[in-house]
Amino acid sequence: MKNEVLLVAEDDASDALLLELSLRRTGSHFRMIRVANGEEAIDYVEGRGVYGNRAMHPVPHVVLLDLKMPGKDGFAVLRWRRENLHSALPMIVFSSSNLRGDVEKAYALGANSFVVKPTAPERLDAMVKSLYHWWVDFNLPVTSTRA
Amino acid sequence: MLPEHSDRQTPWVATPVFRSSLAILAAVGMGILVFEALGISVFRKIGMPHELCYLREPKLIWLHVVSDSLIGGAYVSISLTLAFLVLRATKDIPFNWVFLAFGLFIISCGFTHFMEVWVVWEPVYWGSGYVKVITAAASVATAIALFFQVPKVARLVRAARENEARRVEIDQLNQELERFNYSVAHDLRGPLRGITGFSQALREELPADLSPTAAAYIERMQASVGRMDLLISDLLKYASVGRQSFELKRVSLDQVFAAAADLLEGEVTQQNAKIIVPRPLPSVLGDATLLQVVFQNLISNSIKFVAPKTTPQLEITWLTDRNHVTVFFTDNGLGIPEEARSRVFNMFERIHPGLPGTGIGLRIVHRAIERLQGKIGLNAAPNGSGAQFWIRLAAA
Repeated sequence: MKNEVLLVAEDDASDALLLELSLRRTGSHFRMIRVANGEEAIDYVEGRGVYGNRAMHPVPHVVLLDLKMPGKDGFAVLRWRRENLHSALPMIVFSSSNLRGDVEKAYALGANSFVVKPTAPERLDAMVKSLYHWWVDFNLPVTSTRA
Repeated sequence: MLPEHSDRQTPWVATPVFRSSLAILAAVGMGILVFEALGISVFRKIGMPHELCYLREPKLIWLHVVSDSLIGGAYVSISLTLAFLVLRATKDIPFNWVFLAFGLFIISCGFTHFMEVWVVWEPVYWGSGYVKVITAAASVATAIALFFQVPKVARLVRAARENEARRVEIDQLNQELERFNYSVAHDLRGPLRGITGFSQALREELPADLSPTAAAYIERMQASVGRMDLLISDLLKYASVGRQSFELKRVSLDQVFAAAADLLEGEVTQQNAKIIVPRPLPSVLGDATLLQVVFQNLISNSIKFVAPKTTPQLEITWLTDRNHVTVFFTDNGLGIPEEARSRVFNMFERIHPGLPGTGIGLRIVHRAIERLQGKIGLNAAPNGSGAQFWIRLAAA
């Protein structure tokens, strides 16, 4: 049963499909939902427009955020999260950049983690497994402490 | 300290400052003789000491004496400081007559005031006058010299400003270029991820759809992608060696070696390689990260490029002198043929095409050493086979 939603903000269809293949290959419990840019990611998290139907579009557990996207990019999403106090939602940068400036900027904007997209499929599989392990099995979200 | 600075030091007796000072003293002595020849002794006393003009009023006398002494002392101290600076600076800036004229001007002004003190009690008015002549000569000479220096100084200021502008421009260009290299390397990775990922998916998810030939082609594709990925990784490393900012500081090569050996442990064990290093290694002026890149690449090369069935062996030795540390990496590997030695540090230069490698490793090492203001080279192997690389860095 797939329940935890992994929201993937990724403009590159190939990268998104690779991620999906990897999730399938590893038998992940994540249910991946993809949006193609920062704008859509924000709309999704806020439940705006088509995303208002939470039965169809459940609140995500974790967000994987590409940095370079058309329109609102990953940095813009991080900025938005900080301004709107959505700190309970983990956002993990998933980028091909490991430029020091990008990493520093992302963390300064409150990214929970910074992952460079692996090239080798085995590394991607390992990453996807750890992602679930860490953020679902071990990590305690803010909402649970309130309950 | 960098090697260039300590190597050529002129003995102080040979410095222009010292020689000119001697000449000036001689001129002053000659002047005294000229006065003697004219029938005037500068040591002759005439008339009454100046204290009589001050009506022997102690307060007035001491006011003049203390003030003149302080002024004279300060002038002498200023000119000595100036002389010291000129002496020190002659290594970096050409000797300039204006400094000397200025120094003489100040020191003679000082002596003028000392004479004022002397004449309070002794009527050495001729001597006091003579010192004033010298002061006048030095002052006029300085005034004229300074006047002619104006265009020269203006030129220097302009040149310095232009140099600064050019340096900033070059820095910017370099940064841009390195940023470009870096993003190219990164953007090349994207499509590569697609090729690797989807060919893997083809093989794993649709094996039934693939004929053995198709599967073999895909395998070749994946091998090519693997090579491409290695190339990009090395290009990225090269770019980051060029980009990374650092400050030269004392680095223990012993720690650098330990860190590099740690990272290479897998390779060393797999190849059963033997590394001989008399520990501890000395310290140098450098940067730990860049030096680790250097050590890692040189050690890895020694282990990697060996004849089949040979146990790789690497010996690390060093020589130190007052200013430098030279570290030698001597191995029993395939060596570098004589005709390839000049090309070995070029980008994409592969000496042993049959063996894995991108031809970037030594380029990275070269760049790192260049940035550390060191030197790198390669000798004919002392045992007839193998290679001997050496790096030279400033001692710490």
